Amino acid sequence: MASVGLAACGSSTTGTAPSKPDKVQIAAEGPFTGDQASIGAGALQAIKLAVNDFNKAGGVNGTQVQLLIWDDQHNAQTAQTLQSQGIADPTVLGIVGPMNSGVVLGSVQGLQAGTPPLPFVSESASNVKVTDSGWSVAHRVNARDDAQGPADGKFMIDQGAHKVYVMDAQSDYSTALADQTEKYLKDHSITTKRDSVKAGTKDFATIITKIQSFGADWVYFADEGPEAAPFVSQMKSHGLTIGQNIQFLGTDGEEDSSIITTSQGAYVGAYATNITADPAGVSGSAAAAYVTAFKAAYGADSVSKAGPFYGSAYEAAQTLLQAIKNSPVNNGKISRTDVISHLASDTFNTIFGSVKFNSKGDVTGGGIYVYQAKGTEMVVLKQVSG
Amino acid sequence: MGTFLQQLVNGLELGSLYALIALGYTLIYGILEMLNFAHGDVFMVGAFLAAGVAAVLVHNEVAAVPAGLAVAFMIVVAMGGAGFLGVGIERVAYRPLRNANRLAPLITAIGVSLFLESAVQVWVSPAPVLVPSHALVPQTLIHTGGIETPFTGLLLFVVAVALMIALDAFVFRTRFGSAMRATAQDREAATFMGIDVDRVIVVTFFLASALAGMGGVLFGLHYGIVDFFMGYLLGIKAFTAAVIGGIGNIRGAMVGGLLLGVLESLIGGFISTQFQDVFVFLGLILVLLVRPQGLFGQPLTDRA
Amino acid sequence: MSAQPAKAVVAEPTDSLRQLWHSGPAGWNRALTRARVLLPFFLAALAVPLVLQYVEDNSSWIGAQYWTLILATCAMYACLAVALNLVVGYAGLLNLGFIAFFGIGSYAYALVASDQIHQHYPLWAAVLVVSIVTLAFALLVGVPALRLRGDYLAIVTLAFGLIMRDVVLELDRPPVLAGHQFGPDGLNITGGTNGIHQVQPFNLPTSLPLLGPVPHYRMYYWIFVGFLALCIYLMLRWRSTRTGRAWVAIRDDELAARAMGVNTFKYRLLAFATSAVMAGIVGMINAAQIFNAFPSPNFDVQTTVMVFIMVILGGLGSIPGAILGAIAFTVPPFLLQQFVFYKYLVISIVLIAVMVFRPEGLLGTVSIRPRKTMGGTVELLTAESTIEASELPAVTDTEAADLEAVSGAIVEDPEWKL
Repeated sequence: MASVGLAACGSSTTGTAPSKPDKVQIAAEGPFTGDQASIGAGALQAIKLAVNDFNKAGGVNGTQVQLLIWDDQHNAQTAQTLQSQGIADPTVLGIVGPMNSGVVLGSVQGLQAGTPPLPFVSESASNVKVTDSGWSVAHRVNARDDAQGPADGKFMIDQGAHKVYVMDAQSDYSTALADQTEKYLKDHSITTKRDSVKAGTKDFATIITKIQSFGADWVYFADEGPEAAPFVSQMKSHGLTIGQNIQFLGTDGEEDSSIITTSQGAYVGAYATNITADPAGVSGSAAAAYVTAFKAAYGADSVSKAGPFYGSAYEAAQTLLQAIKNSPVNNGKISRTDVISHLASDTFNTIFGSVKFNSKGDVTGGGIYVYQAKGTEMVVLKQVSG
Repeated sequence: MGTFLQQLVNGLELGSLYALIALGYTLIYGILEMLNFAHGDVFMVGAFLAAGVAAVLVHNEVAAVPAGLAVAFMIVVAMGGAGFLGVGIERVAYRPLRNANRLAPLITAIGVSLFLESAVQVWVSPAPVLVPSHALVPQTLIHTGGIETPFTGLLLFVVAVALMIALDAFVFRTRFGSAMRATAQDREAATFMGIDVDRVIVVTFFLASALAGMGGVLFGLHYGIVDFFMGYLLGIKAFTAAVIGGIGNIRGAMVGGLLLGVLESLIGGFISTQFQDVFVFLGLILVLLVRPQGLFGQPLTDRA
Repeated sequence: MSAQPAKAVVAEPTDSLRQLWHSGPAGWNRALTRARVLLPFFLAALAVPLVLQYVEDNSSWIGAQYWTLILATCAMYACLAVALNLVVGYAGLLNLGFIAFFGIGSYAYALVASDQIHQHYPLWAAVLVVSIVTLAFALLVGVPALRLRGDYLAIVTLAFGLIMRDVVLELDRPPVLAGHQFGPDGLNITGGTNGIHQVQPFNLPTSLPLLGPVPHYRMYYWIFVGFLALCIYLMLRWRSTRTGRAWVAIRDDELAARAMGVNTFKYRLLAFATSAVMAGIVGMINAAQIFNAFPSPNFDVQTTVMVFIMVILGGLGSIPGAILGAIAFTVPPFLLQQFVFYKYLVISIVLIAVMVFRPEGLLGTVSIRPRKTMGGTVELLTAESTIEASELPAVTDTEAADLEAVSGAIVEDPEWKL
């Protein structure tokens, strides 16, 4: 099949029939408002930018892609209702998102049961069940809990951990991840104690006393956000200073420079891992160019407020848009079934390099990145794997 | 044993906060026999007011005025602001329903609570807001006898206890205080005795809310961070404390608050953090079933 | 009963409409809950998705599925509002933990219709399980709590709701208390924050004679509407039985009712338990519809507040009001998606405004308005009894004004101020 080379944002590896679709829509889904807006807002900005860039480069054979915004507020039932709009509308060809594993697991049945099924590419859902359950619609560009957990555990062991206090924030994401990390640590004979904090807790004195009486040298806290800053701040007021008499490892939601400010500096020295890369810290011109473009679009300080997924969201959008572009157009329509098969088979060109989904929908070669809070920024240290 | 004492100290500090807010619940219940569900959110607004003042006065982690002065200013603004907010709420939302069925002000209070939370979320900040406490209060860690506490924790306890003692003196030893107690005992009779019940109610709301505002300041200084939803759970715990102590009874609220804080700390520290609140609420239910008047309350007459 | 004046008048349409308007909320409710109004309403409701589908098939509009889903949510909240109306409006009990029963119903069903504990029960058995489990919890809470007075009942039910929420969130692993693990490793009853996934829907035919294939979403809309009709039918039947009269009596004046020998505790418990079981079954249908049982919003206090607001706005004691309230608070948020940030702000302002200016809501028959009393028990009058009262010789305006003037004077005389 003749391959028609089309402009900038991606290259296709299969041919496309050069006709113009009538209407192309994709949806961005995530917690754009509500308790997890700190991870959602930046991702939405990234997706909007991706669609804009794609449209400027010609869209799908000249047709501009329209973006629907589905704010599921981290609620699977809201997600289902929003998605039903898309499922019934054959011009909606895919979703970038949902961002939360719980939302994915709670709504995927509807997506898979659509005629035809509606595919999604998530930028952050990390629960292993998302791709282990055999759903053809499921794809993600981020790493999984069973990669991040062991990687986190290994990182701590390599840094000399002996007694780790493992904590989660009682959420679909943090509990699953902390489970994986704890398992890895236990398998490697590290003494652990498991605990959790309720979302919205402000007073951590009780739990900090427990950490001290346990004699932990590392605290591992899987969390999506708001608990981290007050927690480390109180650790410090109770005598546990990160970098001096305790070490701290957080996860994606805590790979966030704003925590340094909000904890009034108590966070400095803390580590955090991210299942996606921060474009600002990745070498490669595409990533750097993206950071510049992001700042140009949203302001010089926008990157530090964009949360941990502003890179992977752009990347996920790129894969979806390219898959759509690679799909054949019949009578002005693109079929979701074709989009799904292209997602499965094509290689995509993204800001993080070449990306290809494996048979489950995971990205091969995805890494876990370790960051450290230094000064006022989260600085990337290295890439690790379990 | 060391850990036990430590958790006890943690609990007393936490309990001081509960007690301050519980006082507000109990004052209002005593006067109007209504559970002011919005009280926890008045506390939250007080905390935001304090945070606002701090944001204005502290730049790059340095206070523009002497720290003590800044804190004093925070206190004035928070207590005054919260006080007037409480008065305003009473005037707008509760007074029209004063002689209505009991359900009515309760439901309205739920509405006011929701309103305060969403108003702050939408118009101030949906994300947590920093309180630059490091620039305003000493960050020393006090060690005594094997236990340790941050200075702000001790401050919280001391100030709360001082305020409680002051309130107690006001209510039990001043003329206005006896007017308050009379109104609480029997509103109609108080009217016949020549008490301006409306004024008593307004002052009570002001006092209760100002105490909550002070709680907000102490909270901001101790934890360094405030958010629009903080009043919800704290409010529920505080009124649990008020009920356990005997709702309507001031000394009950003080004791109830401290007791609840200690229980919570001990349960969380030695039994389970996850089920901490479950035990607390089970305790509440137990108290209500076995001794509904709480620790210090009068036995209730059976009224519909 | 004395003859209604309306029958003596010539039944011209405008006259009878005016008559209806003047009969006030009680009259409106009576009119709206007549069979000749309800039957067409429900038939029309059932027909809506078919109409939507027809429009979609014959035009370029796509939205039948979306709108049917919104209406299904609406119908679900209408069922919840009717159930809450029973416990709050009829029996006067402030059940702040109401939504916990919805949640319990949804989880009970999910546990017997999914792989969570590997049980798969047929529909009739599932209904039985859900009803019994919800009833058990209702009795567990109700029997001790209903002996308490109003605000204490509110606190106990609130505490119950909070406890259930925490328990459901925590039981995805064996509980560890004071270092001891209770239960085998890998015990996962409620799925924790994720909830229970892959819940089997009801085993129902996927196509019906004459109506053709019935997609999942339409079937559940019909189930909710059907259940709503059933609940309303039951409530209306009940209202004219001894139980219904007992509820009215207790609500009007509990002391008097007790003096007349009415077992107030038994009837309150009946109302409480019935409303709980209704909520539980709604939860079951919801779990089957969305294939999941989630801890949020199924156990959130905010959801109870939402349903409360629907009932209040629609009017306490009014069944049509509850339905109106449900529609008012489910449809606009979907239409105004971009303003969802302001949702609770608007809702709370509406609630406060309704409570301050018109606490009986749109169609309420229960008056919780302030009464200028001189003290003593505040009565809760129903407009129904007001209508009966209106058939007695009326208190003249001057008599009422005199009384008010006298009582007003004593309270407001400046001489008496401190």
